[in-house]
Amino acid sequence: MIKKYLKLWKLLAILSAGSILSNRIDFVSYLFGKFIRFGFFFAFILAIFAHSNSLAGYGKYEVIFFFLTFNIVDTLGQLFFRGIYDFRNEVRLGNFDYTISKPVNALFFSLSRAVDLIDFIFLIPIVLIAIYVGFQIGHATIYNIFAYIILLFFGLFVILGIHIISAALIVWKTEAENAIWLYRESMTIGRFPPEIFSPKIKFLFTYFMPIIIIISIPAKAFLNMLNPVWILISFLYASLFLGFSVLIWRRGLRHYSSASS
Amino acid sequence: MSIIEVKNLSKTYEYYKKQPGLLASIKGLFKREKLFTDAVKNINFTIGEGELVGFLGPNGAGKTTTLKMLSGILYSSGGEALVLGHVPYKREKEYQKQFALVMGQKNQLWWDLPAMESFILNKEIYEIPDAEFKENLDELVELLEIKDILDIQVRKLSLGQRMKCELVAALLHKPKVLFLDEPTIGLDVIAQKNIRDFIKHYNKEKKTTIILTSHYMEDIKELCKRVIIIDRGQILYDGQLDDLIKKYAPYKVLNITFNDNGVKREEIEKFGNVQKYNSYAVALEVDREKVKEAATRILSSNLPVDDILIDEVDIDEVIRKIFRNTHANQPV
Amino acid sequence: MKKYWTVFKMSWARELEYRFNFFLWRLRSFIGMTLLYFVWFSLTLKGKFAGFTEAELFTYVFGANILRSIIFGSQTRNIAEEINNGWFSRYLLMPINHFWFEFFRELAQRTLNFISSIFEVGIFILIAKPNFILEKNFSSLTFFFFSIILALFLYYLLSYLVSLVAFWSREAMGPRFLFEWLLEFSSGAYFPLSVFSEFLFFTLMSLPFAYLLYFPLSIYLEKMHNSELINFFALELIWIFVIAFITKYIWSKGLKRFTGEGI
Repeated sequence: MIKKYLKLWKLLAILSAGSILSNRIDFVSYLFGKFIRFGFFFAFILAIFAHSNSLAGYGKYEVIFFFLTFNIVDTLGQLFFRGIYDFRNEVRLGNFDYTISKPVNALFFSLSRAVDLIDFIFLIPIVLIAIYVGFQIGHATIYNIFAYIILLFFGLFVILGIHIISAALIVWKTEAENAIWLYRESMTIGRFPPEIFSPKIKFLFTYFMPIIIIISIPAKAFLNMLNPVWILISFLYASLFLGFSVLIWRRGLRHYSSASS
Repeated sequence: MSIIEVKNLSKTYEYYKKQPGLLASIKGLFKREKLFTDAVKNINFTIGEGELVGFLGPNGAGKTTTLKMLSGILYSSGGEALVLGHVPYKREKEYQKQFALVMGQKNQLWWDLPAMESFILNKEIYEIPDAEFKENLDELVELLEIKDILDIQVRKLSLGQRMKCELVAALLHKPKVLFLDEPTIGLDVIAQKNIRDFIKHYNKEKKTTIILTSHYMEDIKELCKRVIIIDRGQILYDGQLDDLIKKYAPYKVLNITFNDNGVKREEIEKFGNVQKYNSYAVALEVDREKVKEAATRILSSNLPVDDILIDEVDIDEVIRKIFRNTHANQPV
Repeated sequence: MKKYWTVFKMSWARELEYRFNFFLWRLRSFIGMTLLYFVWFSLTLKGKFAGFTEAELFTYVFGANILRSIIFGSQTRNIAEEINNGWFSRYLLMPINHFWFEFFRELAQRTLNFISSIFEVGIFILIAKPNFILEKNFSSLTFFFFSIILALFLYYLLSYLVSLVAFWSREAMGPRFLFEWLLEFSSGAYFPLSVFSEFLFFTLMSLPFAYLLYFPLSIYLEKMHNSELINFFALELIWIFVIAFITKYIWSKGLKRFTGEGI
């Protein structure tokens, strides 16, 4: 079964890439746009450190590392779950009916339909730069790297949960707009270390819109600044959140099947 | 063994009355008026293997709702349905691999890509083995004559071409049951005919059980021996199309044209019910048994007949009459 | 003139309908503003940053938020869409100038945004109680006001021009995305452009984008000497004329190409 879904995902990714590449102007523009966006924030950070030695106690490479982690996580989320942005239209136009009448998991299919080739291309240099910066920082141990990767995974589960909830809302309430945008807009605060924020804002973005769990926790693990208890917290939070989101999705789907017309 | 069994199937939608304006919206947060619509009310029917049944009815009659319940898209509010021995709303994979749904005006094909890519996707979803896929694909492509358009982006195809591709996509996994919801809607006359011919052929060859809903009488007339007429969630008629005509229209129509000075209404009235009248062309309804006699009498009378035709009742007229009757609360 | 006012009124009503989009737009501004506030807060804990005091930087952030709401807009996205789906044809039938029609259509959205942004900044100030600067110098304020008007037109011209891509391609979202991010960077929306090296700074100032936000804000903060001021205003005016000219040219070229396809 897993094999089927892996094969299917690969195929969907290829199809989606084909779709994107068939729009050449858009493809090039988005690619450039994303690089400019990245480059611009990067330049901002460099400019900050041209005039100051620290931001909230972090040095240049550390701040850059936070920023890169943000990009990696954000891009991975987009890579896997981008179908959510078309989902609202799919439901509105009635095409979702096709999806649920097929022998495939409707949630998987809808979220994975729009894998973004551009993000995939974008990810490669980012990861390379991250490795370089990681070396510059110097003192990472195997434990740090391992913790970083694990916590990124947990963060991705949280992101998945957010997307699932958003999908559930779309299917449940016909008037609901795309709640996923709340997440997308909030993600921007993950570009910088969380220490710049006041305690209340930190709390908000840790537990309610868990950007800090998704981005800052892994980054701190790498920088050897993380209290290990956070690994447990992150795991628990991700599991509960994901479980909760799946429950909501099931309810939403039941409702859809009772009310679609 | 029947392929499709429907017993006392019902579907009720709930919805909330929504008033316009800001004040009403705020009030709506606290108290909303809940209303119910019975889309489908206790319908019963069974369909056997290889049958091609037409669902006929006005908009909102419950045709699409019924199809959706049989596809497992909607849960029923009451009663039960069994297709191929499965309960549709359980959405069992084994069931889903045996039926297909095609909805006119809604596409399952990817817009920016050639149809072929969507076919391959379905291959993976339905787990069709390579050899079988190739065989089915070649056969369908040839039947529908779409070999040349497989590599063109779907959005660049005409509506008719798109529909053909949709059909291929749906039939690749050789479903035993096919639900067609308004497949010819929006198509030009030639495309409609092509699709119809294909469906007819396919049903005959593969013995696929097909339910077809349509607005177009042409579809029904061409394809379906059996029709189920639904109106306002209830079945008004379930039987052979021919019988329908005989039952609801136990008459034939005499279309007579006159020359010289034409005829007066009183002169022609005595031969039958006047359906349409003007002094040079009259349509007359006459009982089936008596129509030849009536024609003979008219011809041998001294009326200035130019031409006379004995026609079957227009089935649209029959259907319209049925709906008119029900809407006027007369027993059917 | 009256018909344009009607356009404005109708557009206003329409904007209120698209509440979610509006809300999202404001949310984005608000979160962005919050983020920057905290960044500057951190950076100025120990004193000035790149020659700016804490109060100046905060004022810059709030000012950018408010100015953005007037100067930047997104309605012009619709232009590309309308050209692509053929709806654009009706403008050719009506006794109306498309350029000005869209301008007034935009204005309604901007006005709403402006009101909301004043509100947001107000709330923020009430909660965070930051230091900020209320400019009182009359000549600075006059120049400031003037620069905003120019910026408004400049942005509209640029945005309109980008939308005209639609005459040549179905794909207009990509270029729009590119355009908007180019703007974020070079207009000074996030930080005063003077934090960059001299070379980079002058490069940016020779491009039209810097005049959208950085220029007005630096006038407000009295960071511009009078001689510089005049030079930069002149440069901005030149840019406005050049872009207006290009836009007119592209418009006529595009119109010829437009076959009214779609509907």
